[in-house]
Amino acid sequence: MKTRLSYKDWERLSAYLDGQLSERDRRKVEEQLRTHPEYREAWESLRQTRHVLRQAPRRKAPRSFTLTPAMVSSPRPRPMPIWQLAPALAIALVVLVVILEWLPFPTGGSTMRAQAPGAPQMEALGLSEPTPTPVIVYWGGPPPPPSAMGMGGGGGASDMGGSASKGVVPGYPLLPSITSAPLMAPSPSPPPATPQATPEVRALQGPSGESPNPILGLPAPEERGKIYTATPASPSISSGISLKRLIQAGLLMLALVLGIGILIRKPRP
Amino acid sequence: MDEAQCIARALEGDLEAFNQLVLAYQDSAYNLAYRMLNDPDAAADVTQSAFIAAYRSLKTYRGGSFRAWVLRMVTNACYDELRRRKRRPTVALEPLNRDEEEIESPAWLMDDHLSPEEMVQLREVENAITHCLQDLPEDFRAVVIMVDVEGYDYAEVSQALGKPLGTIKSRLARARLRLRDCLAGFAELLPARFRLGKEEMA
Repeated sequence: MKTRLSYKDWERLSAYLDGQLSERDRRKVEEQLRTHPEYREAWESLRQTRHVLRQAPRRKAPRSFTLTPAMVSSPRPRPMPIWQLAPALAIALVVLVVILEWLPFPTGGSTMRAQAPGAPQMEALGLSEPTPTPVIVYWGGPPPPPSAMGMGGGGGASDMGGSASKGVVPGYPLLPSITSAPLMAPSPSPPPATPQATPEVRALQGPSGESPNPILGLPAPEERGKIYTATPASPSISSGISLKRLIQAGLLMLALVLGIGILIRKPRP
Repeated sequence: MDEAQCIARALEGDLEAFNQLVLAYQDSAYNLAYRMLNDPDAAADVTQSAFIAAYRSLKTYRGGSFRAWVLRMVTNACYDELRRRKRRPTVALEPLNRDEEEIESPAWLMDDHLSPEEMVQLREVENAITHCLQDLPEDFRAVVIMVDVEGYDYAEVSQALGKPLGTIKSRLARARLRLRDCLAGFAELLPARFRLGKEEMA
C-alpha cells in the first residue's frame, strides 16, 4: 500500500533537495527515503524538475541599464489629478444641491420674514408668535385719538389715552388686548376725519369685495364702526430663496462644467 | 572598486559608482523580469525603472545582499506591471517568422554560442518552462525563478521577497509540485536528457 505524501512531506523533500534542512530533519528524511519507495520516487521527481528548470537558458541583458543624470533627476511634480476626481466631484455637487433643497435654509424662507426683535424670547416664553402687525383701518368709526397720531396728548377721550392709545398707530406692534372693546366702541364724537389715502387703504375693500365709496372712503351704513384689519403684504422673502437658488444654480453649473469636461477630455492612451 | 565601496560612494550621490553596481547585476535583474513577465520589452522597461527606483531609494538600503535588495526592486516592479496588465490587458506583439506565424520565443535573445541543434533543444525546453512558469501564481513564480532558474539561496530569496524562510520553503515546494505536473505534459517534446522518466513520476 502506497503512503500518500502530505504537503509537509513535500516541503521537507524540497528543502532536503536544496540542503536546507536541520541535521535532525535531514536524518529523518534520509531514513524515509531508504525505507519508503514512494518517498524516493517523489524526491526523484522533484530533483528532475529542478534539473529541467536549471537548464532554462539565461538571457543577456539586451542593452546597458546604466543610469544617466537625466534619468535620476527629480521627477516633475504631477499636476493635481483633477480629472480623475471630476466624476465623483460632479456627483457630489448634484447630491449637495438635492440636500440643499430639503434642508431648511438658514437665512431664507420663513425665518426671513419680518420678525419682531423679541420674537425668539416670546417663543421661549411659550407665547405664540404674533402675526404680522395688522394695519387697523377705521371705516367710519372713531378716529384715532390725537395722541395716537403723534400729535401729543389732549383732545378726544381722555380715558383712551395712555398705553392703549399707542396701539392704533399703523406700524406699531399692537398687543391683542389693545384691539378690544375701547377702540371698537363707536364714539359719538365728531365725524371721522377722512383717512389719508395710503396705498394700503386704497387697496382695501369691504367684505363684500366692493368699496361703496372708494374715493371718499365712506362706508356703507351697516359697516360703520367696524374695524377691518389688513395684513400687510408679506415682507419680501425672495432674498432668502433667491440666495438658496443662486447657490444651487452655481453648484449645478459647476457639476455641468465638470461633466462636459469629462466628456470632451481626451482619454489617456 | 568592490561592491561595498561602490555602495558607499553611490550613497554619497556618485552615479558612476552606482552604474558599476548596475553593470554587475543587470543580467540577473533582466532575467528575473523576463521570466516573471515573459516579454522582453516589458522586462527591459521594468529593469530600467527598477534601477532608477533603486538609485532614488538607495538610502533605504540597510546592508545585507545588495543583489537581493536590487532583486526586490525588480520583483516589485514586475508585480506592478502584472497588476497593470490585469487592469488593461493587451496582446503582446510577437515577432513573425517567414510564414508570418508568431514566434513565441525570440531566438535572437538566446545565447548565440550554441549549435543549431542545441538551440532547437533549448527552445523546446524554454517553451515548456515558460509555459509552465506562466501558469503559476505570481508569488510562487518569483520564488521558483529565483531558486531553481537563477540559483539563489533561500536566505537571499527571503530578503529579496521580504518573506520569512518558512514561506519561501513552502512556496517553493508547492511551485515545484505544480511544475512537475506541468512539465510531465511536455515529456515527449523535451530532449531525452530533460525528460522526466515515467518511473520517476509519483
